[in-house]
Amino acid sequence: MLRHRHILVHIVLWSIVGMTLLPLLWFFLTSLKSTNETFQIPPAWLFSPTLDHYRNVLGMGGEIVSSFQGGSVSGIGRGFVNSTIIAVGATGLSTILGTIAAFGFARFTIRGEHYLLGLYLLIRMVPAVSMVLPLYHIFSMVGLNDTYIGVIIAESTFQVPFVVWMMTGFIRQIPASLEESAMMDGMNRLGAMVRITLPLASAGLFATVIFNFVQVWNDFLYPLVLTSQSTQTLPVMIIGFIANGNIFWGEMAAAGILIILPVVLISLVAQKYVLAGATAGAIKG
Amino acid sequence: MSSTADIDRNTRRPPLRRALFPYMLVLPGLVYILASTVAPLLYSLWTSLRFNQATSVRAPHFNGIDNYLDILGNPAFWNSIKITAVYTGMTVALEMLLGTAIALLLIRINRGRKFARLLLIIPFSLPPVIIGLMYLLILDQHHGIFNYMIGLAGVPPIPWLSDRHVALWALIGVDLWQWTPFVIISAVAALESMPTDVLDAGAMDGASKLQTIRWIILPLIKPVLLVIALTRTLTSLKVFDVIFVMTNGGPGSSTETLSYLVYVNGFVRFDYGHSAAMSWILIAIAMATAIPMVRSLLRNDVS
Repeated sequence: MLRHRHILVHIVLWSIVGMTLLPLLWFFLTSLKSTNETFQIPPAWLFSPTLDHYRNVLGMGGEIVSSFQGGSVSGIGRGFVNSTIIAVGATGLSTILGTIAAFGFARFTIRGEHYLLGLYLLIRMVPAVSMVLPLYHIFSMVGLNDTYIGVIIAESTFQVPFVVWMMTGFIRQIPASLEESAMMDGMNRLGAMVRITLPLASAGLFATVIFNFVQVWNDFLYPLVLTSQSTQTLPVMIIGFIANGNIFWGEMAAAGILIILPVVLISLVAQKYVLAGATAGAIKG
Repeated sequence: MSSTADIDRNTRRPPLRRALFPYMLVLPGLVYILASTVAPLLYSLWTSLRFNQATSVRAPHFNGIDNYLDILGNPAFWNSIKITAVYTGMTVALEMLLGTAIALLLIRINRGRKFARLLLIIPFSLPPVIIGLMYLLILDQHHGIFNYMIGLAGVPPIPWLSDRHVALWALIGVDLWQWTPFVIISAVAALESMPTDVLDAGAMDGASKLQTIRWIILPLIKPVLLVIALTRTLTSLKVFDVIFVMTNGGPGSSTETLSYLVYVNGFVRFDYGHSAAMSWILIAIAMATAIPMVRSLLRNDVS
């Protein structure tokens, strides 16, 4: 009786997990199908896969891509470069600023600390759609629209508060006594923080960095408004596949798979950190 | 803290520099946030108090709270409030219910739990834009695999995204796919950190499985569930990408949430004043949700 029930639990659970992954599998299969097979009825589960769509979106197929990208963009290679620059830039900037501040909050009593931490948390909860209009206007006044710096600044408005909260928590878990004994040995305080505490908090730091990187990589609204062709990120670029009421399903699926590949790889390789970041991120922001 | 002060006494730094050191750590981040976030927000507040319509012949000018009054008298605004309430209410309620139930099942298996958890990370890690495109493909009325599959069960094809009574529910369904796994994983993490002897004691007292869940487990993880629910509420209030890709707020205005309407007013109609005013109403709603959470987090932070 108990044994049967246990098997039932397994069946229910694995069908739920299966159902979760099925749409993704279908998307992947679509990227490998020839255009004729995309909407074949009954749906084609078995077919001879082709890499044509991947060749097209990477700019090796020529015609199709240039026809719906206005001829000026050859494939999504440029998008990979842009997305990487923006994700690395925003993550780096916010990690540095946020971690330095986190040392201040974690190791000292700062006057008004509560209000500051509360302010950071509230800022993180301001919807991006409320920020993007004033950012757009201010950026056009100072010439930051359609620049990497502009999008990096926009993205980091959410990331800096997140890093402050995460790293304050992680640094507090490392006993201050280790820093102090290093200082007894003549190291200055900043050196002790960077060389003693930071390595010990590296798991937390890694989780924070990964979480930020994925968020910026996935973000859509800021780059949609603040970039144009030369600085466009991948999620904005892929929208080009539904231009003019015509959807290039195969190319869209292929591009989609290429865009999510880094995210999925990160999830699989660094799952421990992704989980830590996601759970703490949920609870803290 | 006192031990840190002892070390201070041993260093040869001048006292003022020593006292300022903590503030020098906090300052760069603070200045940056004031410039990059607080300044734009103030600018937006200023915009919301002005007539500023790029398509109008009238020049921008100060008009007090007129934009806010216009919005409160605008049926499109109240429609978006209704859509937002239905979307947020349904997604949060269903995801919490389903997610917690599945987590309670998942905690009962040992073999494969880690693997299941690993796979469940994927949906909420993906770019929402790609999720939208993926479901555009799957929910296509005439050629989509979903209608084909329900067709095998004899259900006629459903116009998921082109019927004004259905589209919002299709979006809610996509949200469930994306975010229920997140609730599952967070709830499992909470359940795993629960002391096992509590459960044993319950079982010893003769409590049934359901009684244990209702009277022991759920009250224990209630604080975590509350935080998850609030987080989910905030994300649902902000949802934009999937709507942009799948329905553009349509058909009609049947999926036009408040977030989406803020965008349409700002970047489609170029009516900056009303867009900014509306965005402040959105901020107010988000803050009303967030403040109880911030309070409880700060309280935990003290201890």
